Amino acid sequence: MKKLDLPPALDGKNLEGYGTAVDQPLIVRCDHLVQFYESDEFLADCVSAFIEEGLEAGEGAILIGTARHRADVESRLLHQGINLPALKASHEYFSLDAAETLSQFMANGLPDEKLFHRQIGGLVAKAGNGGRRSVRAFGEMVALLWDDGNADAAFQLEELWNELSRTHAFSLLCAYPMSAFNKASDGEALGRICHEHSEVLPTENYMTSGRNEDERFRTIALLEQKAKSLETEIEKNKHIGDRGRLLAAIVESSEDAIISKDLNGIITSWNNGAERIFGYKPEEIVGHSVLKLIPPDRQHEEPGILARLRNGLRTDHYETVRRHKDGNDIHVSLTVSPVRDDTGKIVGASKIARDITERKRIELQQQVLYELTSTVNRAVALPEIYESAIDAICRCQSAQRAAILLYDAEGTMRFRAWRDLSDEYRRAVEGQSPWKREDSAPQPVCISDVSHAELSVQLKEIVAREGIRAMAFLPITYEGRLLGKCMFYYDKPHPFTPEELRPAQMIVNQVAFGIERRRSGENLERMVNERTASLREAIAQMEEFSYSVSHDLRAPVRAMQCYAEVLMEDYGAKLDDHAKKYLERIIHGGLRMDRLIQDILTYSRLSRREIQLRPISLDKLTREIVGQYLDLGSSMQAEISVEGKLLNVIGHEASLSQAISNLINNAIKFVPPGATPKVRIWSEQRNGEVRILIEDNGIGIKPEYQHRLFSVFERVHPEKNYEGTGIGLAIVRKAAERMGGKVGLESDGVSGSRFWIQLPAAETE
Amino acid sequence: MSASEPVILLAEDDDNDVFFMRRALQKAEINHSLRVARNGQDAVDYLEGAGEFADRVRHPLPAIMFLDLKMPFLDGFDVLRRMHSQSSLKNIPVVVLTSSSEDRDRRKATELGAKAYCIKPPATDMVREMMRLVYERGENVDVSAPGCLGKLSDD
Repeated sequence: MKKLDLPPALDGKNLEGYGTAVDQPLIVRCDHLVQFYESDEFLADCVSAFIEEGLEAGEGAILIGTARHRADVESRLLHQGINLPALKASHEYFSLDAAETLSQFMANGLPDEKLFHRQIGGLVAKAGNGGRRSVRAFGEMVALLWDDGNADAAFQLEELWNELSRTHAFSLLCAYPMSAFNKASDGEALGRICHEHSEVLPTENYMTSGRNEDERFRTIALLEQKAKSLETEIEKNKHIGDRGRLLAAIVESSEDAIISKDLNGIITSWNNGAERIFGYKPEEIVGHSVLKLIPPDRQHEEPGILARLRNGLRTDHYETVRRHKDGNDIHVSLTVSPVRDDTGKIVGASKIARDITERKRIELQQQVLYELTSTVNRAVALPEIYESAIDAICRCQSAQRAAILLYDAEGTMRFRAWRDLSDEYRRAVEGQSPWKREDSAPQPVCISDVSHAELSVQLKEIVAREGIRAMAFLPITYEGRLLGKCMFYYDKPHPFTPEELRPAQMIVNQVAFGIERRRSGENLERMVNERTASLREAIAQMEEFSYSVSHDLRAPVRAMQCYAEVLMEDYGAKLDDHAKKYLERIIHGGLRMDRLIQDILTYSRLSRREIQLRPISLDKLTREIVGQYLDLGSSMQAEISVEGKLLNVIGHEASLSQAISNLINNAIKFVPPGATPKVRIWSEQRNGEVRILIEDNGIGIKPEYQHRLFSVFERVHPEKNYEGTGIGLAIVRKAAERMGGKVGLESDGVSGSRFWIQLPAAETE
Repeated sequence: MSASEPVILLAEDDDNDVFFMRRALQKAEINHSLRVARNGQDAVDYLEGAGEFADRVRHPLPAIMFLDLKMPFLDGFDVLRRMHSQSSLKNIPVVVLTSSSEDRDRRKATELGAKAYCIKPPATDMVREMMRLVYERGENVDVSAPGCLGKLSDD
């Protein structure tokens, strides 16, 4: 087969070899050309030139084409002055309809080899006058098959033509419209078609200008440029396409509804999520207004959203309510964003709607539980807790009615609170329970549909009359004890899930807690009252005891002491010094005993006496006490100084007086033998309180003993050196505590002590 | 006041305290006749002239009464209450003589009309002062500690 490297211009002049080599062997003389074309005009020109040249050279010619193409070609041939009817008559020229001819050898969608040979082979032989002249043929049958999408048949037919060329001498011109190869994937088929032919003639775009080599190269360069740019464009489009497909896949797989709408609120796209959330199929909603999704009372929202949109503003996570196809409202969170075209103009909106119904439900449950817990914690009366619990149950469980029943004293479950239950119903079911009181772990009982439940006929009838279709019984238990039950009801059959009962369970637990707390509160109150009464009695007894002590215990001591004094007075002259000394000891012992009893009485009186606190002039009080000391205690030789004006305090005068006296006593008492007691008294501000400090030059108290100092009967120094009852400082501490103050001590255990009492401050004028 | 010698009534159940009182009066050189009631009931009987005390010549109303608070049957407060409710008795000066230094006892005694409140044991000076006050001034007197004298404040 002859191959051409360059597309020749098909003007008929430079088609070397066409019909000129009759004397050459047939097998070599056979050409198989393919002409691509854009316009029918061009095709008709090419084909008529091809045929004309052959006819003029005395060759046979066959035209197998569509009616239109044949007419176009023949009109051109006639125009050239070719006597087509004569040539037809002499069997030099054949004109056949392509489809009709094709049908003569096609079998089962493919060309039949034998039929082809018989039909077409016969035709070529006739036109070639039995091989005595060359033949030119134009065939459009492959193009028809190609156009039908039957590429396999087209290729087989090309093959059959090629095979035919081995036994018959002819030149075949095939023609394909370029429009048949628009797709990129057609490139391979085009290549194969080209391969089937000995010559390939491009479309008129590249045929007309190719006169000289330079122009041809220019044409090729342009062609290459065009191909390149097309390739790039194609690649780009492919990317865009990929991205588009990816985005579409993302949108489709989203759980959220992703909807687009135009600026008038007309829905333009609708994903699977939207179908799932709103119930509409795309074909039911696309093209409709988005208002279809908005409940009547929310329709006003859309103009605002659209207005924001036109201003390029997003509406973010806007929580609202939308309507499902079935009429139920759905809580959604909306994000509406403007969509712009390539020029940045806002052309519509993307709208993402997330179904937050479940979240809203949980929020509601939390809110309800929170409110109930607060109610229970406020320790309100039980009926209020029951009412709150019933309200909570109805809201959390979306139940129409509910009731709370508790065991009464006789062990019968009685209605304590209810909603929307008739007297008749309550009378009929009161006292009934799915559990026994001693059941250790009573479980909830749910009846999804009363009509199918195993209930007594009588009960079923009552329940039906009440309009109840489904119900749940929850045991109210506390620490394993069954207290009662909570029931809630639905007017329609209701499939229960274990998760669904959880909020109700929590509510019921709160009720149980409230009941139990009330009970334990009552118990506690009773206990406190009993204890208080017994404490009061103990205090009364204690007072009685103290009273007795002050009278009865002191009487014999006083008698001893007095008799000793009488003895000394009346018989002293008759006694020797030893006897007198013993008598003195008896008197001294009696005095100590009396003082001890008085101190104990003072201490116990301080502990139980009810005192009223009021502002006290510490300065005046202290100076009075000191004055008494200096009057009485001249034998002590003490130096007591009050420094500055002492600050006023809040306290109880008698208690404070007692405490200060004791501290001064103490300060004077513990001096080394032979030393003169020196006591300094002053006051200081301490954190808004007043501290009175009493410093001595005594023997001090070692830090390790200081903590014991303020306890009853604690003595740090041996009594034989320093006389005392061991109660004085305990009285000081008790007095300070009763006045809301405190006491303390600073001492290194060598050079004196500094005791202090700290009390709330009063205004000092 | 009867024509017979003046009488001091001591309501006291403790023999020792009776002894100390008698001794204090002696030492103070007060020569009144001392009549001793051994409990509250006896004291009231004496004052009201009941039973064996009906003879007012032999048992005249006292010029002053020293009254212990803690006694069997009727206590000192009961005696004060009974005296306060009878016009013939409520002007007899009463000195409470007790071992109680409790504020509440002091307050209560004063409220019930006691003229003075003295802590045992009775000292010679105290007794003398009491007698003097009764005869000369008739004021309320508070004697907080043995031997110590002081006026009761009005509150």
